[in-house]
Amino acid sequence: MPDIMDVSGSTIVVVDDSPVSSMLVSLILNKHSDYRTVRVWDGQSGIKKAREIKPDLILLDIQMPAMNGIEVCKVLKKDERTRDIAVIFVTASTDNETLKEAFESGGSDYVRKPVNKIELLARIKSVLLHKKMEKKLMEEEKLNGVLEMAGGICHELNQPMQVVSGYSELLLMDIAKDNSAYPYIKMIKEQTDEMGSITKKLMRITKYETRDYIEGSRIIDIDKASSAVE
Amino acid sequence: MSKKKILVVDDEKSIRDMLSAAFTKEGYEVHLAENAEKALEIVKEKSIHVMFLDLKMPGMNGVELCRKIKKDRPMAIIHAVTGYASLFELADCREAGFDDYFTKPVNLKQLYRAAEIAFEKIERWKKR
Repeated sequence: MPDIMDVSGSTIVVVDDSPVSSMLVSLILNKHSDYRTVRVWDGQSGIKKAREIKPDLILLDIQMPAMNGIEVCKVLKKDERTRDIAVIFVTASTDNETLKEAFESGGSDYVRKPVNKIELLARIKSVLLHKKMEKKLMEEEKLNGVLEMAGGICHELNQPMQVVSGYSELLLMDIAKDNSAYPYIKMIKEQTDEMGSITKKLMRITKYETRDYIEGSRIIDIDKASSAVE
Repeated sequence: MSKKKILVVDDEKSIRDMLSAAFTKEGYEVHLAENAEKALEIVKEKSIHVMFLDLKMPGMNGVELCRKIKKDRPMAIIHAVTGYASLFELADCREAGFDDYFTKPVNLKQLYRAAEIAFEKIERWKKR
């Protein structure tokens, strides 16, 4: 069973115009963690890289020329492709107003420069875990929504199916097998039973599994979603 | 010889009518109720020992109805017939006193067998 506390292997983009700061952060992460790091040197490149590789986290310097970290964060949070990426600001600033702006732009945390190895790793892990739990909660809520809907649909469908199935079965008891209508009524009964097995699968849904549908959309895969993990 | 009596309780008229036709065809005398309150009235007036109850009904649900019937008639053999199994866990139904549990759509032959077994049991209990 996957360890919910495991965030190793996460991808982090480091956005910093200072080669020295960027190198220091990268060295800490490479030496003391399993995170995969990618370094860029300015805000625009940071946005481009984020859209391209969808990292788990961005370490974002605030003081950068052309586009500062707060402006970068605002752009990332407005874009649905990148809004869910966690951002930790890295800053030499001790100014509370700057920090307030940083959090208001959508940042999850900050570390001060010069970075402290223990603090940096702890804050990164904390933010990544929080994101992971948030994602899990959203998936559970999605699943609960699907389960509720599935249950309601099942109950509504099973009633008319019971009526059709029952009357078909009664007809099959009354008419001779060589009656021309017999095979049609038998097919109605069999297909109704098939529909019944589909609603029974729906009622066994335990996880949110989807498959391709049409034009890029996806629908729930009833067989995968209802198969139990032994 | 009087016919064996069955009570069917379901808030859906089409289900009541279909099960009435089904059990009548097998030679039973079928009594119908659209809700739990009506079912309790029938049970009070008539000597009926074999019942098929829907679980999800407006007002009193089938599980609560089963508990009430079993309190006064512990020998009654009561079957659950439900359109949505997960709402009512099997264990809760057994604890309430249901003797068996079917998920719609259920084959009539299964219900016939259940009724047959129920009446066999009652005959055997009467003779002891």
